[in-house]
Amino acid sequence: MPEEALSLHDVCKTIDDFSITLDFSINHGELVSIVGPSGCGKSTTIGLISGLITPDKGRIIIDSRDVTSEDPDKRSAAVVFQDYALFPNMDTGRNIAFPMKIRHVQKSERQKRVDELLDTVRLPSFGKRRINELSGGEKQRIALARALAANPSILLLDEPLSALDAKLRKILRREICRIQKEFGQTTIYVTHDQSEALSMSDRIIVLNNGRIEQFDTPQKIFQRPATLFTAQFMGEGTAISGSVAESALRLSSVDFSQNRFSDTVETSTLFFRPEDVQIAESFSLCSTLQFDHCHLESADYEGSSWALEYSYKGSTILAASKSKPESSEASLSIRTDRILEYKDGILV
Amino acid sequence: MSKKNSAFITYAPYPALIMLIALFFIPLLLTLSQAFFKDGKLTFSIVSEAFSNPYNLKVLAFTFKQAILSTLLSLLIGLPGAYILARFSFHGKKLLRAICTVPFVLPPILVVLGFVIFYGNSGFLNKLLMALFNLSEPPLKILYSFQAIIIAHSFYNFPVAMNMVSTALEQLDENCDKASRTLGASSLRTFLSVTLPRLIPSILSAATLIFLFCFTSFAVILVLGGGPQFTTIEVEIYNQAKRSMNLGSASALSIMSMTVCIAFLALNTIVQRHAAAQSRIGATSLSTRRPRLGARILVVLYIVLLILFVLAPIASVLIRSVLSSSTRSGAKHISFELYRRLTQGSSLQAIANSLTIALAASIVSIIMGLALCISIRRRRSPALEIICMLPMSISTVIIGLGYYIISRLSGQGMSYMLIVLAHVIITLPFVIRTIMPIYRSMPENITNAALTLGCTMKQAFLRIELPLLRSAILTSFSFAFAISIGEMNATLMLSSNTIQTIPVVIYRLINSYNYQGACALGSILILVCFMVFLISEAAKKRSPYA
Repeated sequence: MPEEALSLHDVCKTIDDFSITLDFSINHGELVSIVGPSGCGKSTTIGLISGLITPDKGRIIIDSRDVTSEDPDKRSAAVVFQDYALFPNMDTGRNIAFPMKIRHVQKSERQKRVDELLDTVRLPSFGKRRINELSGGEKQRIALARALAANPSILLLDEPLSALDAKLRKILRREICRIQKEFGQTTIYVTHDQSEALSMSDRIIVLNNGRIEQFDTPQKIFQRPATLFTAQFMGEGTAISGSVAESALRLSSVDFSQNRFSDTVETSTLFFRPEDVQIAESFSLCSTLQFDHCHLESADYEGSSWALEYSYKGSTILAASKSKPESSEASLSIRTDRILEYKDGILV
Repeated sequence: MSKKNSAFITYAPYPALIMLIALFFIPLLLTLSQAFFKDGKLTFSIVSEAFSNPYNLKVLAFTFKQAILSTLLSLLIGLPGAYILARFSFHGKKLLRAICTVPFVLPPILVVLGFVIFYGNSGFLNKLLMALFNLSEPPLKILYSFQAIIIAHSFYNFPVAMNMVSTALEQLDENCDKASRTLGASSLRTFLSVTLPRLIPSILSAATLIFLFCFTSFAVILVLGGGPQFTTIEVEIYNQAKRSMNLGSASALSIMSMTVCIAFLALNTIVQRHAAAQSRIGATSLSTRRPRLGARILVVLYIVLLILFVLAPIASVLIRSVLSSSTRSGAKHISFELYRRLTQGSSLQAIANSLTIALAASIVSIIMGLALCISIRRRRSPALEIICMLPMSISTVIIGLGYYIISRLSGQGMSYMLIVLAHVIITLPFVIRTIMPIYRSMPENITNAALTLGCTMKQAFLRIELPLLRSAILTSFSFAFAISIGEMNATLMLSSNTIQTIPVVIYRLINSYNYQGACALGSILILVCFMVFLISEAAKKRSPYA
């Protein structure tokens, strides 16, 4: 069996004034998330892979088979939709049995498999429920079981948890991970929630405006985002122009020859996460970038910590603290190895 | 999507579309050709003659007058009901709504019959009043008069006003009214300056629709109006075509009627858009309350009168059909003699004809409607939808006229089939209007899910979409059946004496003052309509998107 379960080669699609270009491969048994803001082309990607949308050009390969011109029913790519799309004219059991019925699986075999799948999604004895009697979470589990019943080469999950409340989302995302690992099911998981993507995925595709910004492991995506867009989309942080930071660099005792920044740092954008910002009333340390006389603009209590917003020469700097700062003036310092430098949005 | 799969959705609607265009445009073009061609030459003299003829202008003026007055009375009866339904909660609200849908499914000829039996000079109402007040003369002499036409029209149309405006009232944003109250306005002031202005578009929308129905009303005028004094354009078209054998003049009058109808349809579309802008879909429904004592008495009074108004004429038909007197002045007794007579001869033939025609027309209409719905939904084509609704813009008398012209060209042998085809084109817009909203509300992902789970497009339609449309199909089938079986206008225009249907025979029996026979046949029609009503109510409950 080849390594790649799915590959898209230069797949392009233009719909009205939006166009998307995709080129990536996914390995067997991998869970890959696609994240991005709304309108970035996540659902279009699902449509292209499943065959609900025909590409303008490019090739789509599933299990070494070119499926570019195949109909959705021949692709072996089952979709779990955001609105579940359970068939309201069938009960839960018949929903799950549906893909097997289409493939003429024998009735006894079907029934056995339905029971197994209901156990898998932890809804045993739910075989005869009517769809409108189910809660959102239950519908989600049934939709997942139905997609698995098709025994797909690729399972496509299109924002499956976005209609559920935060607590249930957390429970179900663990469930999905467990089932995915148990089945070794190659899965594409579309979400706009970056924390969901970070916690679940083997690898993440960051999609922006129809283009792939970065395709990497969650750790790489979070710690070394390849683009400023990815840095800002995957978590919070301060993006500050190099010219502002440069004066701070001079003020601090960082030696230019020793620091990690480019010679033309004044035309760059520097980025760092709030949790990497140290707050002191007056502080100085080598190999830190230091912003003196920062003014506290706002402090929001978020339960486990305070989200702080400082202003420095007209720029805003985000910081985090366990306790509320006592003074409205502070000196902020960030270790230079925690600072990323971007030129024209690309990591230097 | 590849060619193989999309073939189904691409080609399925074509036969239906071609049939729709043929069934609608061929008769229409033939009608127009009668108005513009004389002895094979293009001429405008027929049309200009018809538009300047003083008699025709008088007819046009009367048509407008009766339609305007009927609309106003319908609003007067319907609007209090709209307010009561939207704002108050009380027992039997559902029943009231159901009763108010009754006039919708009743064929006009039945309404006419009911009016004759109930309001007539020797009708039940006069008998009751004479007995109560010891009068020797019937106090109400409204039959065969202008009033009778207006009352019959409002009987037919007040539910339109009631339903449309109560729905609009329920969908208004209640917070505006609450805001008005907290800003210091009294509840009356709030109603007049905050609630009512937002309701005006939907009231106008109902009014234009009612105006259209009354403008093209035929059976009511034909029987209750009759003479030249109370003739409308539709009746005059019938007179010109069937009595004077002047097809050119009938066609020219059709153009006159169509011009007014299309103008009012356009007006209706505009006000409907304004009305839709006022509704807030998806928000919590307006809270209802129980009426206070004073209001409660008024509400109960209104409801009782309304129910009497709706049910009395229908009940009269049923009662009269089993009341029989051996002599003219003799005591009445209950007898099923007339029903026994129905089993013989022409009445039985009419029942058989009606059932066959209605069944054939509604089956064809459903199949065509479904094929067209697939296409409308998949292609998101507003143009196609407008084409499908075109037959609604033309009165059934004019459709009948077109088919009458075809029957004269094709010979008598075709007329049975032509009635079926005319009924197909009359019922098709109703079928599509019933199925399409349900089809559209079906999430597209349901179809997509079936496709990605291994269905072809055809399988997805047959296994998922069609079962989900079942109740809509059942409802539209029953409506199509009811419309067809009660359809008199086109049938009367078309039919030679060889083909009789239930409404046509009832019309002839009324004309020959055989009310009892008409009532017996009418009772059978009521029974059919009642079953249709039950089926559609049952189907409503089972709808997955209700």
